[in-house]
Amino acid sequence: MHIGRSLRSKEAPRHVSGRGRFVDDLVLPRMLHACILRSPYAHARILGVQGQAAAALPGVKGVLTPDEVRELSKPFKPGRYASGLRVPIPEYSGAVGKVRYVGEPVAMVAADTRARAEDAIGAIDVDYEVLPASSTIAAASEPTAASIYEELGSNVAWEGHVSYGDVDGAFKRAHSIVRERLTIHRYSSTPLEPFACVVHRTPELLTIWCNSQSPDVIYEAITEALGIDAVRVIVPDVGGGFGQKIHLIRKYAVMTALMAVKTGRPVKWIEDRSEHMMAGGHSCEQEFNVEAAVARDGEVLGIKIQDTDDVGGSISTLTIHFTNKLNNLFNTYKVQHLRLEGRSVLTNKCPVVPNRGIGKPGMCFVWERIMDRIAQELSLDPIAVRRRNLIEVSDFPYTTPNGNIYGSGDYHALLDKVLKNVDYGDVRRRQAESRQKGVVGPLIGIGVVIGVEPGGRNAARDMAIFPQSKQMPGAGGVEGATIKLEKNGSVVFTLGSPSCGQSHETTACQIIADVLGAGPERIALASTFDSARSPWGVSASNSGNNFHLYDVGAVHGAATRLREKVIVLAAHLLQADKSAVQIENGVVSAGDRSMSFAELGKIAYGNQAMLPKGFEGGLEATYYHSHPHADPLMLPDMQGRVRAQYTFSSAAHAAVVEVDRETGRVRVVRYVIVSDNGTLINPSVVDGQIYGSAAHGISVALGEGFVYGQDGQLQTLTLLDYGKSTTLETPHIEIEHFPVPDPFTTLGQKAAGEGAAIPSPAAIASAVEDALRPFGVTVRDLPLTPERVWRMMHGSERVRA
Amino acid sequence: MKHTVDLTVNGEACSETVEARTLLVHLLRDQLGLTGTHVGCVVGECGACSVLVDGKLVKSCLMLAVQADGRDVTTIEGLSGGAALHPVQEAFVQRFALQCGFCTPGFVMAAHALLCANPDPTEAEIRQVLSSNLCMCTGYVQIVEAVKEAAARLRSCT
Amino acid sequence: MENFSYSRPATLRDATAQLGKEHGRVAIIAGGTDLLGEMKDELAAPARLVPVRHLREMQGVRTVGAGLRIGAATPLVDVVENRAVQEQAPLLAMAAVKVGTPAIRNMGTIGGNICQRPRCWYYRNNYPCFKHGGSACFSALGENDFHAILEGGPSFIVHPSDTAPALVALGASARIAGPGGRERIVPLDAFFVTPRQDVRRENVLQPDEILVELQVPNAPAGSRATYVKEMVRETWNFALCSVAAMVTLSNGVVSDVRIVMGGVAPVPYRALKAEAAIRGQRLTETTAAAAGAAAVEGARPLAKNGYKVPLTQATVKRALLSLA
Repeated sequence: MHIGRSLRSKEAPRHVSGRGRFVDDLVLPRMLHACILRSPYAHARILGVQGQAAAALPGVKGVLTPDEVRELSKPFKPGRYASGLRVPIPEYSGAVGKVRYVGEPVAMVAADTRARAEDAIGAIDVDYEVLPASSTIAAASEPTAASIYEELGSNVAWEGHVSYGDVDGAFKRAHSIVRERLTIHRYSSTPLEPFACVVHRTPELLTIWCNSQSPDVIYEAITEALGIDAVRVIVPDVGGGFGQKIHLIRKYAVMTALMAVKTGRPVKWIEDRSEHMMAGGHSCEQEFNVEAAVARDGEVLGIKIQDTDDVGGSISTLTIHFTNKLNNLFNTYKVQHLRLEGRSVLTNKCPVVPNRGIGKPGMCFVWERIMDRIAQELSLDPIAVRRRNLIEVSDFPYTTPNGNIYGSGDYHALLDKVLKNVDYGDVRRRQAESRQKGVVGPLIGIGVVIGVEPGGRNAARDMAIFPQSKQMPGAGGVEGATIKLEKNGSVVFTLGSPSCGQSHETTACQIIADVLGAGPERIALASTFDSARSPWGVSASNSGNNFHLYDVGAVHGAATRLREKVIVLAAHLLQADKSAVQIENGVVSAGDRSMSFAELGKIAYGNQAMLPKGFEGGLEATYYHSHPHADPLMLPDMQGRVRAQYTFSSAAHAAVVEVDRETGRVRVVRYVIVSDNGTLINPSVVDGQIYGSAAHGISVALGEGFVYGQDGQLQTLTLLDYGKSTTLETPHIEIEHFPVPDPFTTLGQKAAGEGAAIPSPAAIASAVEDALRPFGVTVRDLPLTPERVWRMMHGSERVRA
Repeated sequence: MKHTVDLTVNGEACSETVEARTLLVHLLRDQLGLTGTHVGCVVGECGACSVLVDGKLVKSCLMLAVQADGRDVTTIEGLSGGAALHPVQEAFVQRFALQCGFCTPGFVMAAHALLCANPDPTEAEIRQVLSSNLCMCTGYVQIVEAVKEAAARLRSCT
Repeated sequence: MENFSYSRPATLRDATAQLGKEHGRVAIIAGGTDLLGEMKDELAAPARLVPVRHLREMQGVRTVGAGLRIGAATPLVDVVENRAVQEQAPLLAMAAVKVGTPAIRNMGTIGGNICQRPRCWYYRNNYPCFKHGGSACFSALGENDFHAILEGGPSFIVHPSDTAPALVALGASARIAGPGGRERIVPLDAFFVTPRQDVRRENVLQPDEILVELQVPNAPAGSRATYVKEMVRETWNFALCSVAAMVTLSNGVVSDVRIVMGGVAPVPYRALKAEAAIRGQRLTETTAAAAGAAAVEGARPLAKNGYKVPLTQATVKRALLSLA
């Protein structure tokens, strides 16, 4: 068995040797290098763009202006995240008519070298009429604020709500109402490789190499915007995705393609770091007003949440952070009555995009902060309050009021284990001792939180809030895999989902090895995603925590299909009954007779005479997997209930922090996770996903984030100013796996890609608040920079004076 | 005006013509085809372009190619002599110390530089030296483990 | 990055001959860690770069008499690891090891470290501020979390160097070469200039001059020193505030003291009032706290950097207590 073992990584040897192949490594004959002129203003009308002077510079082969973008391409269709728009709004790849955020692409230059393209950018003359910019939700919501989209009038571009159960009734029954205001700031997962595209256009075919997580988005963007029928999308190695490389990257794919069409030469465009920071997409600032109706014993009877999302300067992802909250709307709790109101406010900042858990960290933050608040207000133990509300083991499979079906879990056990692993009692003892000592030494705090990690997207989810939408964005999910037994007995496969570092090849290899009976060393990914040979799916995408559900299902299905074929052929050749055929390590046997895969391969592809009657030659199988348990509630019902996602991992996190009382600096002393990701296929791979996502959530909670000035200028253009964590800020993270297999998935597996980024901001907030208990303060806002923590301890007046 | 730069890269002498503004990383990638050295920020923050110059860890995006004239450069491609992986590389594979792989060459070079100078580093020393490099995927846990493992492997073979 | 001409001078005299009379037209490059960043961001666009790292008189650490001569183009790592520095001026090694990250210290030089340009993000994002020849400091009314609490105005940048406070505390001087073999020696406390003295520059170097070497007297016999740096994060960042402190104790009482702060003023800021407060005292929680309070006397925080006042106070206190 290879499933369940940490099989040696298939991808790692090439990366440690510098043999990874990323888009920027590709060189084509006569290739030009493109560079983008971006808006220096947060909000301005483009009165004219003159590219002639730039075009005349040495080495320059093409300049693409907004007028040409409008003439040569069609705007993008509104996606599922813009279908709540009051009026349809065309959005082109480059800015047309107006710029709405600093860094919005305005024009492109292609030259024979990158340096010459950069030189020429400065020679493009743009005439702007600068407009007042709104850089906060408050400023943009003012009735007098300049309209970011005149078509909409107000910058409050969408308002809506979902409501489940009898919320008013719950509030009437309540012993008390606990209220809280919370915010999450702007951050990003900052993949280390920025966006990159190479386009080669011949009369027959347009080929794009692009580091997109979602080749289907690139394919649709180019075919629709350029009206080109024959498009091939190739995704080589991708230097991190995290959701950043799903949406905005299509703008650049189309601009690069337009440039290739215009110049008739291959064009490479590589984004630089500051471009990515200002225009590559951020997660959105979210403001919450929360009211919980609670019983005396801490039971949450109902909850009302108002969520205002600052979606930046584009309508293309208007509701993406709102609808993703449907995924973990009830977290781990059996609360029955909930109302979530949403507002999406446009601002003159970078558009928002998915970001390792998108929306879900905010939703978990709401639940876990309010649990702590309830405990404080009712003088209850915060863990007891959580336990009072947890879905019980006996409740699984459990349907949440909004229609999510949680297959399995044991939330009490997660809490039990995390408390034990973190030595909860001991931390509390040390905390009490140090508090008795008074003002010496650091303040100790512990935060314990719990959260679900949804996985496997249902494309119909967003219809829950757009019942009026005419455009069905799709439903459920489909993903393909193809496996081929080669003539020499080795095995190659392709996947519908590109990898951005999640070890798709290694994981798939283990499944194929076990199902097909091949040695893993002879199994390999035939190529990274290439639409000419890889299968498509509705979700041909490395997103939505999809791999574990769709790709694993597809690989398993294709391997099962190929195994059946191998057995039919082997039974015939070994003159045995099919049921007697065994496969192990690339050898088929029946009794004392056996053949190797290589021998089978030779016959399957080359010797018709030896094939059984009616046997289709070759040994290849393709399988498209859809979740066999996608219903009920794949489509929303009249109550707006829909399966937002299909699997629900869960984890308890415990953070122990020390706060320096003089400087406000927070140090994470221990970070302990107990995680249920269902059946583990490769435990070290899953560990890696948990470590990385936890580290990101911790970094988000403690300091990383974007800072804008009132003029809409982004100040944090570098990774240093942005505050990315190094080895020295990132704590050692301890993991215990507690897998409870999912009853509905192929191998009992659940998701792991976003996981720990969802509860970790809440865990840090809880721990810091606990440390600051002697000051009686409440953590409502992130990030918890030393300054913010200091101000909380000492009150803001003293330092403002 | 063009400049001729004579340098040794991975043990081979080369002579390249560059513009004064050409960065060492671009000389390596674009002229010598050594694409294992990556560009993640081009302002010396992320460390994906880390190489050794005269045995010292440097960020090749913060160095002009003309500044490398007469110097000895080792890139990720030059770390292992032949087909076998260098012990640091092998430890990174064994310990799952990478995900997307974009930062990996830089981390391997940083770890290699560390272990050349200090064959038995503490975890604190490992974390200190690796703070020159950023990884967005791993949370560093498995990278630190890999460096410990590499140190043990290297000590056992000397 | 715009192109430029580049030729390696054979001697220091050749180097100064290439410089000219106009700030910004010709730039000296040693490690290049700061300059290349500025050039990539188009904050600087010199027509010529003059490399100096190979020049003999600008390299390495020597002991001369009762002090050290450190070539300005000596990489920071060599300063950190140099035995003579560690023994004769340990404060400098403690400060130098706090610069950036290890790879930056391999590349960056000590001269470059004290001559680096401000990190103010308005300056770095190319706002038309005083530093760029404009007529405003955008931080004054903007995002000024990291700006000056002392000696600010009309520009509110802070001096970002870690080694500069240590060098000032040690009483170091700069040896500066000008055209035609001319030289001058400038004590470091006169090397840095406030925005009131020259709003565009941070030091007295003329366009045709090169900082050749730092002359660092040995730390006083029996003195103890520390460099404490507070950052937003644990490493890599520039100082929110830093404190280079050196004391000599006689019978448990402070007989001599130097306290120089980085990250709080446009120049390395010598906290004379803090020195006066602690001189003649024993190092206790109370006296150190009083010195901390004295260190920020006269501080005028902007709208968003008030936190730096108590932080600086605490850092001075801690630095002194660690020397008790």
